[in-house]
Amino acid sequence: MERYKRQIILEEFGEESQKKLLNSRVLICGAGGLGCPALLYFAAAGIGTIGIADFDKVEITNLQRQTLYNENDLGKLKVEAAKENLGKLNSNIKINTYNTSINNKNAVEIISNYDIVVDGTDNFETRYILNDTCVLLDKPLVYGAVLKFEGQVGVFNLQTKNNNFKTNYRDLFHTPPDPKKNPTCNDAGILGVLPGIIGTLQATETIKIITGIGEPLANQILSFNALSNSFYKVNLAKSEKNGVPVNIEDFKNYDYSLFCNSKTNENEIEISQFKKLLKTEKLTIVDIREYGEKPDTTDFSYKKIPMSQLYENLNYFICDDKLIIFCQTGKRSLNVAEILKDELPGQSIYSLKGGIVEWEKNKLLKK
Amino acid sequence: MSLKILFFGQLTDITKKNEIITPFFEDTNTLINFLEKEYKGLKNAEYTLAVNKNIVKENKVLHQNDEIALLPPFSGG
Repeated sequence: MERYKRQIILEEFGEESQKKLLNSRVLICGAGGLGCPALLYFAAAGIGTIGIADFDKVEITNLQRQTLYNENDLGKLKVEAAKENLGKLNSNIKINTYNTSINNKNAVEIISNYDIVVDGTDNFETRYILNDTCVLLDKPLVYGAVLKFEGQVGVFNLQTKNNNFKTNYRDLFHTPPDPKKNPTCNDAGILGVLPGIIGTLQATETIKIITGIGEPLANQILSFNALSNSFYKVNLAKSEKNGVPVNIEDFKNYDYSLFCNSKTNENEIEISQFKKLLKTEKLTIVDIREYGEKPDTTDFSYKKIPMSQLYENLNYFICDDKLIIFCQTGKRSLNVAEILKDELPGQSIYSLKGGIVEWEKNKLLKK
Repeated sequence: MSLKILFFGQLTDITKKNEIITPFFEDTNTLINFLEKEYKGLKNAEYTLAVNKNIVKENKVLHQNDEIALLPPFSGG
C-alpha cells in the first residue's frame, strides 16, 4: 500500500478507495492515443485487473502520441508491448490481453469479465458495438474521442445519485455517422497531447466511478478545445427508441459493418484501375486536400481545389474527361465525389480509393 | 433579438469560425435552414444540436439569446 500513499492520504479517498481500485476490473478497447495515457494511470493507480483489447502493431507514426510505447516496441503487437511496459510500472496488478478487434461475436464474452469499459477505439463501428454491448450487459462505458485539436469525453450507462436515468452513445447519435464525412486522425491529423488529455480525463472518470468520489460525467458530454482552452459540457436526454438491439441474440445477428457504412462504394476507383486509365485516357484529376497537406506527387498532373472552398469553385470541376478526386486516404474525396455528382449531374466522377497514401504504398510495393 | 451559435470539430473547417451571432429564428429548423444557406457545406455535414447545453433531437422552439451548439461526431482515438 506504500506506493499508493499519496492518494490514500486524500481525505476523500482513503484506504477504502484504494481497496476498491485493487479489486476492480477495467477493460480498455484500443491501446492507441486514448488508451495509452489511460493505461499508464490505471496501472499506476493500482486498478487490480486491466484488460487490453487491440489488434494493431506499434508503428513509428504512433510514437508522437502513444506514450506507453518506445522505439524498442516498433513492430510488436500493441497488447504485448503494453503488457510488458505496464508490468515494469506496476508488477502487482493483473493484465489480460486480447489481440483482436472487438466485434459483435466476441464482445459479450470479453466484456462480461469486467466492471467498466473504456472506449479508446478509432472508428464508429467498434464504438457502436461497445456501446450496445455495455447497454445489454448494463456496464458503465467511459467514452472518449478526438480529432485535430478537439476531444470529447463522457460516461454512458451509469446511474448516479443525481441522475435516475441512463443514456448511451445512441442518445447522442442515433444512427452511425458516415465515416467518409467524418475524418479520422490518420486523415485529418491530431495534436499529440490532445488524446493525452482526453485519455487522462477518461482515466479520471473511471477512477471516480469505481471509488464513488465526485460526480462522474454521467449523461453528459464534455468537449475540450486545446486551441482556445475551452471546455463545453452538454446534457444528454434519454431517447424513447434509440435502436439498441433488444437482446444478446439480436445483437449477435446485427450487421454492424452495413449499419455503419463501412463497405465500398460505386463512386470509388481502385488504384489499379486508375493506373490503367492514366495510360489510356485524358483525365481531370483534382486534389481536394487543404493547402500544405503532404505528400505531394509528381506522378501525374492535377489541380488543387481544397474541400473547404468547394462550393465557391464548383465550375472548376466541370469537364468532359473523367474526373478523379483524391485526398489523403480517400474518405473526404468520396464525400466530395458524391456532392459533385449531385451538383454536376451527368459528369463521370470518381474518388481514388485509399487516396494518395495508398498510391504511394503501391509505388513502394512495385519497386 | 439574436441567437448565439457555436461550431465544434470539423464543422469549423466549413464555417471558419467557432462562434457567430445570428438574427432571431423561431425554432431550430428555421435556424438550420438559414445556416445551410450561409455555409453550404453544412448541408452535407452530420451533427447533433444542443440548445442551451441540452441535446435536442427534434425541432425546438427558440427564445431570445438562446445558445445553440452544433456538435459533429468524433471518431478518432
